[in-house]
Amino acid sequence: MLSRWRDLLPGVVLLVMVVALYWITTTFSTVPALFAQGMQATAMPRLILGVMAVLTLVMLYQGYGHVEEDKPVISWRMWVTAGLLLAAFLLFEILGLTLTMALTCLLIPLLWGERRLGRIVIYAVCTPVMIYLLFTYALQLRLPQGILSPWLS
Amino acid sequence: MEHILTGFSILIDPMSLAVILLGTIVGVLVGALPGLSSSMAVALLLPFTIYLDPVPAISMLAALYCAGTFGGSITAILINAPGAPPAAATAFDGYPMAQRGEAGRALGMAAVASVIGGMLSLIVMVLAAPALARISHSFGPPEYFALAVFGLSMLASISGKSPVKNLIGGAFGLLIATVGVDLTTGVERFTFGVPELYEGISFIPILIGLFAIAELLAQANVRDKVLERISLNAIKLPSVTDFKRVWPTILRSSGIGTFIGILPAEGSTMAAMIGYNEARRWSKNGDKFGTGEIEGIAGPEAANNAATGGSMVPTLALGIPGSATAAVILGGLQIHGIRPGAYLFENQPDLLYSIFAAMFLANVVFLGFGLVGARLFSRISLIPRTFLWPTVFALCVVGAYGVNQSMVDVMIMLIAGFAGFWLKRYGFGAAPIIMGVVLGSLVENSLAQSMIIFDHDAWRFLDRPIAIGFFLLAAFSLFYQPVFGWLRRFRRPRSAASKGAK
Repeated sequence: MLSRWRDLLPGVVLLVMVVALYWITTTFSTVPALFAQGMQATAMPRLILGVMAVLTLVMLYQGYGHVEEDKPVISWRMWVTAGLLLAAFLLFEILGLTLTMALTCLLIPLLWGERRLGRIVIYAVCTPVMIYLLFTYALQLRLPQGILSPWLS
Repeated sequence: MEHILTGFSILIDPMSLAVILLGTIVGVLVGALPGLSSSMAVALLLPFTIYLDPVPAISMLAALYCAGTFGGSITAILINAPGAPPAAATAFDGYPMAQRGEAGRALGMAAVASVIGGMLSLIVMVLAAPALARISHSFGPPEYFALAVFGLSMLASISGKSPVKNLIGGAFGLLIATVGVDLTTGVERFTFGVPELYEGISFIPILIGLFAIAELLAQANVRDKVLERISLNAIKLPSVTDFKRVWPTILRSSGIGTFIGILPAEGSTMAAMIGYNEARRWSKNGDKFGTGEIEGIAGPEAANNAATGGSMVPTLALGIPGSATAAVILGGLQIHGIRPGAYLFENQPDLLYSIFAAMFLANVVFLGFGLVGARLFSRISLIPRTFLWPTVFALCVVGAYGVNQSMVDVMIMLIAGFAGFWLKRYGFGAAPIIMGVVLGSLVENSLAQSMIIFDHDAWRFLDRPIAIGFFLLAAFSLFYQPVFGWLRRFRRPRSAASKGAK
């Protein structure tokens, strides 16, 4: 029966999220009515969550009895790319933006099947350098440089 | 007249001219790249405009919007890979024409139709935006709340498979906009003790995440496909015969595109699809559409470019975005401290003419690109995605970081990107969420102010005729599809039964 219920998974996730966020709104502080000007801080989020809950139920009702559409299979490359982006974020503080960008510019092409190593290396060096020069000198934006701070700040 | 001259003076300021030309070139380049849309390009460029004065910054984004919409047609015609969704309809007849050796004629028609559509919509923009802004002078918080509800309700009819999912996306965007300290009560909402969230979630990281990072993850899932590239033997303007044949189509599609652009939330993609369908409906050769009919290029191209000028009308006059890209530009206006609406035309009347001048110039420049540089721009699609997307990621990181110089914004960008990927997979688009985020503060503030005006009696909205009008329009846009669907289903069995009786 569940296989003939389109959008069941996103619907359930949304309803759980709505309930969880509604519970979070119960932890919001309240202020005297005079300061709240008639609308406590919880009012708008709860109104929106209520609308979302109703719309989600409509979506589930519309999907009942319909088969879920086939979706493209998620390849291992997507998972590894997502992990790489996450790792890059964790490395930004330590290695700095320029060095981490060099690593991502090296690893993503390799991960996505690029095999011209010479080009990859040139690309992985030139792209972060150009971004560093453009933003640091032309736009005067100070990028965190992590371990390269003594040389690149 | 003085304001017009001041507005157009942007074209003689070398710096402003340079950034507008840069916006146009980047727009055509990005538009030509499958996967990169003008919304994404504007989102990526937005953080860097902070270093510019407001007028050239917004003008550059507007020029990019125009050029990006046209750029998609180059690859749609040459390699059957629309660079952006609004160009999808152009590929239906553009690619067959290119296959039979008429790539130049197809590109020429796309460029000319786009320019005519774009120019006509700019004239409408210059005339309609101040008029609409003057009308909005009489709007109070209740009218603005009703208008924002109408804008959000239009999400039900924007392109996408499910109106309900678009509405859920819009509501989700509104919810994101509530994060931070509530300005009225001083109460923290969904901040989870993170100080960087006290002022709310920055618009730019969400924008970049939903558009660019989500697409990057989707690209990781794509297998390389060999695109057949048509050689471009000759670039030529459409012949006089062609022009005689298509001018009614161009004019009709320009009107359709401008009108659809003016409607809140409706953008170039829908304009192009309707422009194409109407071109087919009115054409003597409607049955040949899809095999390489030149009207099949003129229709969608005039419509999708006309929608760019049209969508700027509610954006500038009312602060209600006319499309996803216009929502990003509206975010840009807010970042630069420009308040759209009647006050904009009173305090900075020359901005409208600067935007007009920038979009006008963009149209002229991409006409040149379309006729002369298409061969060069078509090569952009040959950039391997293995090199393109890591660069996009690097620009995303710098863009998200640069606004507040905060790594929390980079984290928000990644979370928005991952969420955007999954939402897209289940049919929830990025555009409705962005619309919700942009309209969030307007909805909450105008509702709160309305409730104070009405002494907390919501029924008093019914005392405001303009607000009632917007609510009725909202109800129509929400329910016309289900009601008409129900009526069709209701009629079908009856007519079938009556045929059976006969």
